[in-house]
Amino acid sequence: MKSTVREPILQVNTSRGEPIVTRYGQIVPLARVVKVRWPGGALILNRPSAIEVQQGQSRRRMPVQNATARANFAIILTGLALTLGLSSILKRRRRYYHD
Amino acid sequence: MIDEKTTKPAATDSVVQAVSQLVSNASVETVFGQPIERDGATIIPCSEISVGFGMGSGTGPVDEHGNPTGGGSGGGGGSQGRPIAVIVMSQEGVRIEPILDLTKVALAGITTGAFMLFWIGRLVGFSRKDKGPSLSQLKRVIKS
Repeated sequence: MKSTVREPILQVNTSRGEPIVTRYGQIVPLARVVKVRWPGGALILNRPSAIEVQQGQSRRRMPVQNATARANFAIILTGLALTLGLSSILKRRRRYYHD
Repeated sequence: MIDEKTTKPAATDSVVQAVSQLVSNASVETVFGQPIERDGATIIPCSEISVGFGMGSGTGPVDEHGNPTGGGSGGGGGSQGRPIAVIVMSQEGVRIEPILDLTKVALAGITTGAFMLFWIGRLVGFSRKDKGPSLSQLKRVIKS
């Protein structure tokens, strides 16, 4: 009997790349892969998550941030908050005039 | 005689597995570019990559000999890559310079603004209906 191992629908992996050595130090790139699978298809999102910087004896981790995604998120959140706030004010005013 | 049997979908699952394996294996090398030496500094570009695909297949009813009478398959996919940051290594140290996609931000702003105007416009319209005629409606009535 053939046994099949099914992959999970959602997978999040962080992979470590080969160290990049320059004359200013060494960095190790880290990438995050988000895999969503369904029968007959898949969506794979691959983005850099951080770098590990090694300069001399010190080693630190620096996150790679997506400025565009953050800006978009902030705009959408502010828009939703403003819409909700204004709608509640307008509704309250309407109720006040009605009474 | 033709039996209405459903046959198993073709080996789409293994193709999906192979492609996803291919993409995730080359993950780090794909998103981090090759170091570039410029003006005494080393620059490493970073980009995000998204790949999506789907496929499907099917066969028609099976005849008395067990052969499918027809079938078809199709698929599609797409990929997108966008630079998100640049790693700059120089004598001063290592810093990450984010890349802001102004077109995307402007599009998000326009969409959010349009959504806000639509909802507030609807609410103002409702409240106007409750309160009575608007100023322009009153002017029209006075003129007539």
